[in-house]
Amino acid sequence: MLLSELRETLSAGSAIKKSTMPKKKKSQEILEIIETKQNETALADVDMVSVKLVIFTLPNGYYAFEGESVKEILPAGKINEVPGVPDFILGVINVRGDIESVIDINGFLGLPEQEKSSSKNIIIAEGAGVKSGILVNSVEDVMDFPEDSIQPPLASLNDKIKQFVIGETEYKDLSVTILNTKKIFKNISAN
Amino acid sequence: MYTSETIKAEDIEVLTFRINQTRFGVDLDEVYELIELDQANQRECKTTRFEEEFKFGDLKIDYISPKVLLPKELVSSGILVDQVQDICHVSLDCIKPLPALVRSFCHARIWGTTLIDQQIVLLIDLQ
Repeated sequence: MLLSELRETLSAGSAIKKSTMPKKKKSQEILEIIETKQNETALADVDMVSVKLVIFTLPNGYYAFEGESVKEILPAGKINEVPGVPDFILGVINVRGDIESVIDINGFLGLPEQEKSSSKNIIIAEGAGVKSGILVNSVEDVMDFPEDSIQPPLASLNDKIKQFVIGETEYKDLSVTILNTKKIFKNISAN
Repeated sequence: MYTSETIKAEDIEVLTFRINQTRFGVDLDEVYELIELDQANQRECKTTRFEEEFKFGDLKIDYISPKVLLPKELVSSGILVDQVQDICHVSLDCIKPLPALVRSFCHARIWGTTLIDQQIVLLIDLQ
């Protein structure tokens, strides 16, 4: 007889009743507790689907691209102009021997103009079969956000931007507008 | 990319020049002659500024050391270019098409890119 059962047997009033019940082994109880906890964790994991976002700044606030579309983040360097392209295509850059285009996302979205010298990063993104650099002020963070923290686009956004917005989330208590690179590249290519 | 190897069949010779801050290159096979602007005037060549020929928009370039490129196909009309720099051998393996977003907008005669001394050179057709 286990020591715990012996103690229970000796305890007043419960001896007869408890001895008639099939007793679980402690190890079995521990395993059951562990299994329950694992199931809860698994359920929590299912609930906590997350989205990786690359958060960056433009002159008027925080924006983000989905992490899966971002291939590389580079410091902004010399951009070689190409004649005849729209103003929002800034030119081409050399990325370790590959030539990539660079777009001015600020100009493309019709946001307030910025000093090009204030741009510190180029995000290399891919979508809709197109790969291109995107000039931004600075990349602030790369982090996972719970999917349910992403809200629909703000109704106050203008139509030009809204068509390229996946949704909104919060970063450091500030609103972050999540942009869809596929739609942006598709729109540029179609023009 | 510039290679110092002897010229192979798969190499082209590229004459490079600079317009504003951008470096351009043209296959030497397309060039009949490179002459001074005065010579072009004496020969009564019709000369077009590079930025007009390649549609830079309203941008007007202040030329530092202008020269006139005469294409083989049409020696009576030239293109004014600036800061002619070098003739380089470029392997075909080192020539890349323009990125898709740029290709869909820019002048069709800008047909490719290469790297010379780690600098991007836009390759153009004269005709």
